[in-house]
Amino acid sequence: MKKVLSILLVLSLVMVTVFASGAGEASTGGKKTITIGAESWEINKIFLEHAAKEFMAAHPDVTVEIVTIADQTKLSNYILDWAKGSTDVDLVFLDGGIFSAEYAAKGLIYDFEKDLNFFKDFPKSNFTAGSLETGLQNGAQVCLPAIYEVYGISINKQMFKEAGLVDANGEPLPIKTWDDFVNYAEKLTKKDKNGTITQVGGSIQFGNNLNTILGAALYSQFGNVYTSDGITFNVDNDYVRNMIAAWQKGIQSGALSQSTFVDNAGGRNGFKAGQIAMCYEAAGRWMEAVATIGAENLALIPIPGEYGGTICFGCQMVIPKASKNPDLVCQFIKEAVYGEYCQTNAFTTYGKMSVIQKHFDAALEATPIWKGIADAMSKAKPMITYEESQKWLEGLDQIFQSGLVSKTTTAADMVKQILTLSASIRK
Amino acid sequence: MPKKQKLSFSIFVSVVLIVISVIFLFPIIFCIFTSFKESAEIIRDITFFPHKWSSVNYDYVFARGAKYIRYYLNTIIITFSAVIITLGLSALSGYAFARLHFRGSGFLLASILFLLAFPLCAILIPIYMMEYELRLLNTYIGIILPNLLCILPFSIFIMRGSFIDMSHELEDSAEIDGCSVPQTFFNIMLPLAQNALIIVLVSGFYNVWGEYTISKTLASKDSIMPISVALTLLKSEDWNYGVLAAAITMSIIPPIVVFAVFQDKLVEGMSAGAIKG
Amino acid sequence: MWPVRVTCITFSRKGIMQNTISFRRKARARWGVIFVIPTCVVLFVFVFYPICYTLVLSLNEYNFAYDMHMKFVGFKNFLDMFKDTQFLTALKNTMQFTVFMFVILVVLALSLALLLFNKKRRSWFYRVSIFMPIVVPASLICILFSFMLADNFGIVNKFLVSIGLSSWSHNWLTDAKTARVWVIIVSVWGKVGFCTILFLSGLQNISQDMFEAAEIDGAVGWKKLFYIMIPNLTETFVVVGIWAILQCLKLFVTPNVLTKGGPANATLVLYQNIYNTAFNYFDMGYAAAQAFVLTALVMIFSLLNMKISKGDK
Repeated sequence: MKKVLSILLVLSLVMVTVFASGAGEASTGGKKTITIGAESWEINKIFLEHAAKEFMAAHPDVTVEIVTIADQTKLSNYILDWAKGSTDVDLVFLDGGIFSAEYAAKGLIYDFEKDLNFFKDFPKSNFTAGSLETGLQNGAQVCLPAIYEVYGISINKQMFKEAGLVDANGEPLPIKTWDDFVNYAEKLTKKDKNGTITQVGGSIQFGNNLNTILGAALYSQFGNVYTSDGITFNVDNDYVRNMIAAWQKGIQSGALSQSTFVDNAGGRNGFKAGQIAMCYEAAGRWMEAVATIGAENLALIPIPGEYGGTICFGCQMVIPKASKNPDLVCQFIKEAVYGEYCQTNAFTTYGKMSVIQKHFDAALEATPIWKGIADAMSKAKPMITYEESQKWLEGLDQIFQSGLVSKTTTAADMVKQILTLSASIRK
Repeated sequence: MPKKQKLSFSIFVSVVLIVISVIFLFPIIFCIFTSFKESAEIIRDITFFPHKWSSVNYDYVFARGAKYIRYYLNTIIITFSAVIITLGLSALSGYAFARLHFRGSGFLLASILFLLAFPLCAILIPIYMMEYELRLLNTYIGIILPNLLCILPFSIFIMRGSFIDMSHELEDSAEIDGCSVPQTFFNIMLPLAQNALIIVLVSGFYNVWGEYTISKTLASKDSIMPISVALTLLKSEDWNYGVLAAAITMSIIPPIVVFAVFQDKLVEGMSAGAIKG
Repeated sequence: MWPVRVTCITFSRKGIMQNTISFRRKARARWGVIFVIPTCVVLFVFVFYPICYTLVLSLNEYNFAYDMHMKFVGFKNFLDMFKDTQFLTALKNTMQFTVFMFVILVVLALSLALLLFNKKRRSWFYRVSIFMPIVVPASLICILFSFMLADNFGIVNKFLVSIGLSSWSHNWLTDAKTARVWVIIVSVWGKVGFCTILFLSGLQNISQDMFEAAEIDGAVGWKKLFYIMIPNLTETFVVVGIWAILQCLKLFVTPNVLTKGGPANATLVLYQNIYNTAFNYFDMGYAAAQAFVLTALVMIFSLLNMKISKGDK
């Protein structure tokens, strides 16, 4: 026993010292290397590996490495790295604007326009409406969008037909107000003889996208998310109170699903499973359901509201100032990420819309379902990211998740809670 | 009469155990079946047994192919090093706390309890910053040390508990015979503590094998990343449940094999201890 | 043979023996320190800086994402905690979970260990199946559980409908009450295997002689349980107790992944609150303060557990 233990001890010490350095990758002498950090879904859906191969084929003296980021905590670690002037990635893909606000606030990332002169040979007119704006932070273009998405309502046409909610041509009736939405949801909800719900009328993302859901609803009605101060959500009006009251009615009657309270993927999975008729989330959800429901049963409709616009958001790219090859990275972006392969296929395969106008138009032709919200897309605008956006989101989640199921809290109460929350966070 | 009672009692025990085993295994079996189903069947048809056995999920998982060998190797190196170091250190310290009383041992024990109680996520950022300064990020030592922090305190408690329960006779006799303390320890006390050592090994092994938060923060390069983090990279925007099931199945096979192997040693060691008395 | 020898030495060399005892004690103490030094080096040197830093942090307000400057605020963080409804909810939930989970874990583990102890043949299969949940990575299997328990496309509800009990099918995870129950069930499922093994090992450490003596004395069945097994499991109770307390108070993965903190914070636990404060809000000072509160809780309960178990003996 003692002998075995001592042998193992020696062995482990040997192993540890031998491997302590971690067998780092040998640097390719002479070649320039750019490293790209992105989450695995971004690598898949933006076809980054293909982009890397294409670029390396076109520029044999450059190596492009792709590093997968496990999740968002790695992005906060970058703040520590970059503040010390060192980085192991030259280009980072961010899911949304929270981190870009922090990086910009500390001056850790390049301004594409002022520092890198990105638009000198790649004019802003190449971009689709509103997409470049998603990368602005306090007026500075510190991020570039790789792809962008908008919000819309994906619907299951088959269920509409079964419920009789179609017009003379068999097309689904339009939804003009939130009352319509909830009424249709109630008609689309099926219960069996015991009262158990077998088909849910609608689902709204009351989880990790709630601030955009709320913002898009406001924007679609008013043409503006914010009040005159430009930063507070415009919720103190009757329209919002009626909307929230309608949602409350829907949740309590079972017409709207509560699964997004606990599972961010509850709505989209239910829609994919053919269990939910309408899904108010990012508009690309319909594409995930093609395999299970069939493209002929799917449609996209715009968010109810008089103005009829929608909110767009993008997957952003940033270059840290600590990077040694910013110009090379810009070239990579222009040739590969904004190239035809990535931009078109991201759109047609995954519904991640192209930010480059000509690729966007080409892809739109190939997938006509998007035309359902084409008008809204032309009026798309991004939202402002608050400094304490995480607190804002979680506060909203709390208010809605407890208020919508409560029999005592009214919509007016909830609006007051939202205003209190809004006043308490840093913007 | 007593024999009949014994038989019916034995059958009762078997039935209860079978029911419990089925309940415990159900989610895992569901997981294994799900890993062989196609996406449409999983989410639309919702079946238990796969109607159509398909390997599409495993194809997706293995598309990253050779990298998994590296990930498994990383996990093995990290786990084995951490467990071996823990076995050694916890046995020594456990014995010291149980039998070799010295000034301040109570205080030391309390501070180890403090370490045990402290939530790791609160010091993860300082550890990250410290490792950054020491250039220990993305190295094996950099990950083994925080893992030791997780398993060593509890292992010390286990070993201490086991040594406290032992009778003083053997020790005293050994001392009178002229054995020095380390000789007593290595030749007599340690072999007696085999059960506890195996428990330390098993608990340490599974804790380090599945450790996710530490590895996620401190290991971002493929050359160091263990399998627990690597499997979560398979998540696209949201988990495809089939791929998830395949990932879970892949990650439970090695530990279960290890457990099945150590099962025998566990039984052997334990019954030997019981007979010896 | 041994006792005789000892007696001889005692009687003939009393004076020298006294020296021997204190010499021995000092030698043992010296060896004690030597044995403990490597552990101390590993544990405390590496942790010394982070924990001191965290202690300092808890007395400051520091949001490293926005300010990068620490602002000394004394005990403000601790005072704020008790006005913060989210923290108080997390605290309440953690205590509730701990009480229920601890009792269920210990009772279930002990019962399973007794059953397995009784069943000598073919117990291999049962042991592996009870231990399996420990091996499964908790974060991944909880996602699968949330899939199984989903209202519309979960297999649990579908099964209930198919056997005609559709009135029993429920939105398990979105209803605050049932969500809590399921968090406890899934956590216990994942942890009871280890406790069972600990108890089983403790049971098998009880010497065969004791059992035989008891049977000769006529103690069977329940008497055997209470008079022989439980008293001899004291040290095992301490170890299992500490482990269970740790797992319950530091519960994180299951509520976080299964319900993300529950519909409207119904399953929010303290560890998750600390994690959110540190990694989502970047409010490091506040997170550090909460961490110390959690540590204090765990230490109090562990010491209580040790006192109670020792008291029983």
